[in-house]
Amino acid sequence: MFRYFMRRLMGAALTLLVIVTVSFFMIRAAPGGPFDQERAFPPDVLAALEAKFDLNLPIWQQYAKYLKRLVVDHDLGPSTKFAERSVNELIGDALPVSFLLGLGAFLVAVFLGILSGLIAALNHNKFLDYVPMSVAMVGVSVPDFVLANVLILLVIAINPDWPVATLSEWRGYVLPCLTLGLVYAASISRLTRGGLLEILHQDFIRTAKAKGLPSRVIIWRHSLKGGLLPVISYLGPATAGMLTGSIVIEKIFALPGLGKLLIDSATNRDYTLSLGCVIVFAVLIIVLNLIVDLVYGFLDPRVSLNS
Amino acid sequence: MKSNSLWSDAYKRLRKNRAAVTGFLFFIFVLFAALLGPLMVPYSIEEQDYDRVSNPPLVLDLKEFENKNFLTLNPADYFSVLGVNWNKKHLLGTDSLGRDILARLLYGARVSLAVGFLAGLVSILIGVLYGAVAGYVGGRVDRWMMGLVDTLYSLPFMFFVILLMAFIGRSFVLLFVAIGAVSWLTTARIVRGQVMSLKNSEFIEAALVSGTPGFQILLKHLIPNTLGPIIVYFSLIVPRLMLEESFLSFLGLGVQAPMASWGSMISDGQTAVMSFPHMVIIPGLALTLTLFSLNFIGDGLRDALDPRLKGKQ
Repeated sequence: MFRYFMRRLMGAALTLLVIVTVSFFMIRAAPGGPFDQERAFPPDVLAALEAKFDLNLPIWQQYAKYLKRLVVDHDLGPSTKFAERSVNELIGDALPVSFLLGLGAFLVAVFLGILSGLIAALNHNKFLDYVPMSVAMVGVSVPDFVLANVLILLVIAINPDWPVATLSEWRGYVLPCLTLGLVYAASISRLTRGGLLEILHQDFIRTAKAKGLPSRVIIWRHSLKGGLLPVISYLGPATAGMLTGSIVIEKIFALPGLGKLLIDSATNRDYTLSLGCVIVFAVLIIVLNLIVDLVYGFLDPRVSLNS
Repeated sequence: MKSNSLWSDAYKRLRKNRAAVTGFLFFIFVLFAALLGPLMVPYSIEEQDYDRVSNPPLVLDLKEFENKNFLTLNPADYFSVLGVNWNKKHLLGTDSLGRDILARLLYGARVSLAVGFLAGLVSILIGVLYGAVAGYVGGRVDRWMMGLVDTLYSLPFMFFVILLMAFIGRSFVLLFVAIGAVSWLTTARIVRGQVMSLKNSEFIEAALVSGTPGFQILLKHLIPNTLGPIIVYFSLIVPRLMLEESFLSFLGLGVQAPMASWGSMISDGQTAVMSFPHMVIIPGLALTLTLFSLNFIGDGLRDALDPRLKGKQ
């Protein structure tokens, strides 16, 4: 168990190093610099700016310095666009927004997905199976930024005063979380139904029924644990997808989160800030995937974490 | 007696699949609209009708609407002119710059479809070559090549593409090459598996004994025999790549103005979706229905050509 964990941790660190390196050199390879503008800076100002951000050093020295600061001080450096603000501060301001959005979307996806999948599986090939599954089929194919607009128009038609693009009150989070969560709720619903149906046809369930166990116990104690395994293993890719999707959702609902910060900084050619955003996104994806894999290992006795 | 080939069998199975056939017909319609449509609409993609800005596709009173020469709508008027008659001047209305939405939709269809298919070709090309070489050579080379694929799976490629498009440049070619080049991993796995299972069969042995060089066996005998799964996977990946293109265009990192794609049209209309909903609904509907039809075609082809793949992917 411990050895497995350490090996995964090493792999994660290596993946992160690859991401930092590729992103760093991709940004530096781009034509133009962060201080190009219509009216060029005077040469001495430009030289001072470049010295501040180490841009006057050879590229491998820049890389080594950046990496050292990142690993030793966990410091992502100053922003090249916003003078006086560090990347750590800017990301620190954006993270709580993204965290709430992600948490809400995750809860929507898991609760709605498992509940509707459970209902569908228990009513196999009946009306209550077809309805959620048709909705889920639509949900899987609709792009999230189209779904967001459909939901906005629906909510505005019902209640014109609903706060759509503001975080001044908690209701501002409802639509973003719902949109981001619904797409994954659709997939989770299908996986739950499939997993449960497979379990419900197994011999030990028939035995449980023959012994006269109440169906409540059969479902909650004997079916759900095994039936939800496909859902658990899907949560890894799903969280990665949600993090990517949050970029679009934050743009639509004007949320000042990490995704918006990434897109704004990338279009502003803010070297350090966009690199910092990508690194934080990558860390989140890797850590969440690691957690999902560990949970899966605990839940599925067939997976041995020691081998 | 006429024998049933793999393809005629698959065709029969496909024809019975109602969802796939409907999807196929719809997709043919979209294809023709993208090819011929731009020739038939009287507007170009960037032509601005300054007299008719933000007009809806359906209006309340046709006569009054047509007689007015000047109709720049602001949000307050929009819902008062909305009705059930087709706006004959601009069949699908105009956007906030007075551009004809139908014309943009049809030109945008070309971009969206082209990026999806070209990126699909790029990803299939890389994946097939990589997977075939790994599967054919085998041994340590195979282990290394597939180990690399496993490692690459854990990288969040979309973020690289975002950086690439934002910093290096937003060209059409870079768009589909970038999207395609980061999505070949699954193709490589499928093709490797196919090649591994084929390479010990008798016809390959025969080719080897008769002195055919290795690369020729690979290109002429092994790869053509993996065509079925490749076609299936291609049809499954094209809608995903179209979605990625629209995702990037929506973020302003895809095609550049005045070119339009469905994603960039939705992005343009996004800021005013509550005032002028048609600017988002129309391209959104086009994108969603096309993705739908492609997904149905992909699922149908998979069930028809390679029933064993069912449930995977």
